[in-house]
Amino acid sequence: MSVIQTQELTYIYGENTPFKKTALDKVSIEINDGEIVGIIGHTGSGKSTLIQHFNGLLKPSSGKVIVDGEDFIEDKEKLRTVRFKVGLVFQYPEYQLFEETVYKDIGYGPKNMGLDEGEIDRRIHSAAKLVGLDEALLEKSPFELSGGQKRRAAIAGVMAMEPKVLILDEPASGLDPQGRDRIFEMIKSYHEQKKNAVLVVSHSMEDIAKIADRILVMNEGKVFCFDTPPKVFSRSEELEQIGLSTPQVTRIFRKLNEMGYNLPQDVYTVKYAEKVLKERLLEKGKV
Amino acid sequence: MLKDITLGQYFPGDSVIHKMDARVKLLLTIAFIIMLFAAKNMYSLLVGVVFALLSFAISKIPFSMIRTSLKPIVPIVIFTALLNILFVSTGEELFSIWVITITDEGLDTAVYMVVRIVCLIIGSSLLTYTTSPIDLTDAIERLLRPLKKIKVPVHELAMMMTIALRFIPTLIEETDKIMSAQKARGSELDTGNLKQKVKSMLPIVIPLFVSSFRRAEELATAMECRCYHGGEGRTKMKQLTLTYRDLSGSIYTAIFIAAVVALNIIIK
Repeated sequence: MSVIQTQELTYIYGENTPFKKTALDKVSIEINDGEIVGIIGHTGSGKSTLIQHFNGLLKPSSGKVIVDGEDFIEDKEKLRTVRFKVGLVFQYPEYQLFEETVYKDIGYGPKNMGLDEGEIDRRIHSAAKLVGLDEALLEKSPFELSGGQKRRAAIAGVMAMEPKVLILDEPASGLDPQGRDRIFEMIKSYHEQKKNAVLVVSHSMEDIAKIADRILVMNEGKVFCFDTPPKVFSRSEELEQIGLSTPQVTRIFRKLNEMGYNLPQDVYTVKYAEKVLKERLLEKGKV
Repeated sequence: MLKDITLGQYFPGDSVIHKMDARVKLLLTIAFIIMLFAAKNMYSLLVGVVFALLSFAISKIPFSMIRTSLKPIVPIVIFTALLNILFVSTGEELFSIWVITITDEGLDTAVYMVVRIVCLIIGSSLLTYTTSPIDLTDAIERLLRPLKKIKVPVHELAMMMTIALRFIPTLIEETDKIMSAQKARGSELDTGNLKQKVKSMLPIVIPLFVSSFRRAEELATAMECRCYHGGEGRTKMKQLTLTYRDLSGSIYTAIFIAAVVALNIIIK
């Protein structure tokens, strides 16, 4: 069942000014409940614009956005409930922290939902646990935390609203490799526990390839392709043409194919590459 | 929403006016303002109006932009007009109700003031539409340079202005982002009474302050790393030079000023 659906969604920035730009051009996609979707695209390809339509922050210039079976854009009441159904974590979310304590900051969303104290408390603790924030940190000021902790506190603030769909815009940008891995592990474990749909925007194919069930590739405001990782990465040459880097293993396998080894084209993770190579070598009896 | 603010918004183009030296444009705008207030009769004022509209046409900026720039001053214009109509008591009385007396001179001054203010806004917005803020501060710095002799920190003031202008769009964008982020967490920014409204601004104002301080600190460090130490002995990457365009622009303005003066003298 689809949780988010768009029909011919078009969005134009700065209409009637000399800076007019079509950010989204007739985007029609469907996102199913419970899947992890990776959204990839070059800077300015419209990926951030697209996700801001999913919770009604932007209104389409034309076309439709349907969340959970409802066309909500014109209805103010529904718009608010949609914001709670679709949790959006912006890029560099740590810059939105403002409360005196981490505890209160995570509780800001649930409080806006009008939940009672007990429920808010439960959600704060469960969200902190999901992102791996120590209980002791909850009483600290968010401005005392380290960069990575701040980021996780901000993500917890959205998770605490327990949305049906969680959207993260470049959740790992500006973090070191270790920090990146931890964020993606966190997203994975969140998904395993909650079984909710998760959308992750990134321009790192490597990161997306590790977790996504399906990948949406955006190019110049249009859907370039929307498919499972093996199918998407089998078009690696085209992806590179629109300025996207494919995972290193994919490139290595393509090179190997050019050299005459007949290997599958849809390799995108090191794990899968290892399996394929092992099988091939076993066939030849060299291991 | 926030991006609609047209506070001295630059409107890129490649007309003669766009290419003119910012210093000359600034001085000519001042000359134009003086011209407006020097105009003593209807005909010379009309020359001022023609000058403003003609210059606008030359700049190739859509005329709809005039409306945009006039919108915020409508209350001021109405207020000034009313003030003049109601409180100028010289001249021939047209009619009077209760304590209010309306005279022909009052009406005259009201019309004059309205036309002057409107033209003033058109002229100065033409300056900001055709000149990037950076060029403008550069021009101000150059023009105010003589004040250095009496210890006015001209360069520092200009640098502060440049930085402020540079960060307006950045901060607007940042505010927009933070607002979106808090809206995504269900904050309601435009409902409730005043107290609730002010309270709902906190989640936006606090992060904005924090990031402004962070930016200021980063910028200061970056400037020091590149050995910035004030205006002493500092050269400019973009040298302002006068060209034939500036000369013709000045002549064009001078002709209109001459017309205003002439009409002032001829028609009494």
